[in-house]
Amino acid sequence: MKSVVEGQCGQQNALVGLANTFGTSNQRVAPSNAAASSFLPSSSLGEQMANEFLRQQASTMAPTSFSMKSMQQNLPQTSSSNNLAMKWTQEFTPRQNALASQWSNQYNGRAMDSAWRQVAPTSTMAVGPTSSQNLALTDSGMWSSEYLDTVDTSLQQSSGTAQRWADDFLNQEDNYGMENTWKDSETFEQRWEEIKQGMESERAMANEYSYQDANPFSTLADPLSQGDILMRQGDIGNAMLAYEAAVQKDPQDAGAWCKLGLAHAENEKDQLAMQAFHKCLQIDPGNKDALLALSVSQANEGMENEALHQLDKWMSSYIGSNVTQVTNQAPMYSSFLDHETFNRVEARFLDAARQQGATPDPDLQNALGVLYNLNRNFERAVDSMKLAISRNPADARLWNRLGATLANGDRTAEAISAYREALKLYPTYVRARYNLGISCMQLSSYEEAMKHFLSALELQKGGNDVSSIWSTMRSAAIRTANAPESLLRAVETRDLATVKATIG
Amino acid sequence: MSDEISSGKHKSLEKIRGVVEFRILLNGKQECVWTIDLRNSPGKVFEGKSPAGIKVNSTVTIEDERFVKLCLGELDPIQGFMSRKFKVQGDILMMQKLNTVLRGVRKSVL
Repeated sequence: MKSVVEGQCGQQNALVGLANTFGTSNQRVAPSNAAASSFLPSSSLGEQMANEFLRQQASTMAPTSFSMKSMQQNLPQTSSSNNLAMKWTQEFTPRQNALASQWSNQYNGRAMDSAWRQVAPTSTMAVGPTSSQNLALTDSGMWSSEYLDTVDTSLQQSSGTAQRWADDFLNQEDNYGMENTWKDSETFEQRWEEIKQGMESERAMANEYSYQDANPFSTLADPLSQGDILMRQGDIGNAMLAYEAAVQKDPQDAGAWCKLGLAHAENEKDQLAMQAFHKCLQIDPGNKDALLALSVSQANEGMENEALHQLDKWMSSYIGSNVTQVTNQAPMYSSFLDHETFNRVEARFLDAARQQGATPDPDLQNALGVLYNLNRNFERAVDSMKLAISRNPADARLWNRLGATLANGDRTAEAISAYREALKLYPTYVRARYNLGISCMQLSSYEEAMKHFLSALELQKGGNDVSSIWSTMRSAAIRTANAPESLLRAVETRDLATVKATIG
Repeated sequence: MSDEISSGKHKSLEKIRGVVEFRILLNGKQECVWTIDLRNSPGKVFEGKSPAGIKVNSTVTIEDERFVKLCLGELDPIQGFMSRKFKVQGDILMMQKLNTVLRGVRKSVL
């Protein structure tokens, strides 16, 4: 049996071999009636089967590719043999699923690993003729549909779909489209212009910081320390205002800018946070906190290469070398992470970590965790974050980051525990509450998610309309079962009061 | 999905700068056409083909239910593309960018 499950293409059909031995062993048993009847329904039928097998084996060649269908045709058409076939397929199917998913994993390479593993079990659920058409590429689907389907689907169709797919792929207009976009030098020029303009505007934006109007703290003598007190108390909104007052008083205070940025980040306002951090770094380019926090905000906004660049600078600052010397590569405005740079930066981090030996520095582990989030290596990111937390268990920011890393790595339950820890330490942590809402959505508890988003919005101060929380809340609202019209409308119009009244 | 895009994170959407056409099928028959114009911010989403003169960068031909799943995140676009659950013509690179943006909208915040 095992040889069949491990069947390899291109070799002699293993089942053919089995059939040979089956025929012979049956003949040996035949003389003794008792043994034969225990083996098969009737010995004569068994003999018939065996003889047919041997006859067909003599006449048919072992197919070069493992074709289940021709094998099935080789099996005699009598009812008992059909039952036997059914039993066999039922036995094989569970193991075949495992094989198929294994095979498709190897076949498609590591990058697609998780995707395929998800595909394999679901595709084997699909029984019937239609499934084989839909799963042209999914070999596991081909296996299952052939195994389970004893009525329809000709082999020709299955091998035909493979051929059709190959033809389709070659003839696909995609290829033509791609060539055209690049051959057309005019559009290329245009694109380049657009990119340059984008860079300009981004640089310009980086230098700006738009202050809030009517700041009650602007008259205070020492708004900075006031801001610190407020942060500790958990009043992020007012702390932010206090810090703004502080930097308005002293625009060169890099530390104040950094704290302002952190307050914005905790308040789930990454855009403002980034502006503040840029200001800070203009004054103090080596400020590690600002570099790391800026990297985090950029990562959240999908600016992965920029985030990587900040981490590179962080590393330089960490080991004490000149940050401005970090080579600023030609900014590749692609969405994909630049792997070369990533590997280089990772090497630097691992070097530093190795030098620390048995006592890992939580700051380094924190930054390393952020780094691994960039290339979606969540296993390592979680490890790093846990190390950092073990040294600083009272840092709510670390707990939130751990939670986010877990959630992005699809470990939603653990993520929720981490968020709860963060919220235990810092109950008004807007970011953690927002993340908690997202995790609830992952678990399809949309009503719960709505409640969390509502809390987050209430905690946020200043400029609620443009908050990113609203758009996520809208997704949750759409998917909430039996959501009243008024709720949906309130979310559309960013009407916080009505939403609160509806959800409570 | 239309409003997830137009009210979503503009910053990352700006990067795409293109026009995408979605041909929605119902049981194989072309039911309707939607166009997403992301060349400027904020993006525009409207029914019907893009107006004459505006070049469409890529076209996606997809079944209605699959489209819903795609937007909700239940169908992974890359996976779907590989198993030919829908067709993409034109600038695939841009479609991948769109995919990363949509994925980013749903992920947790560090």
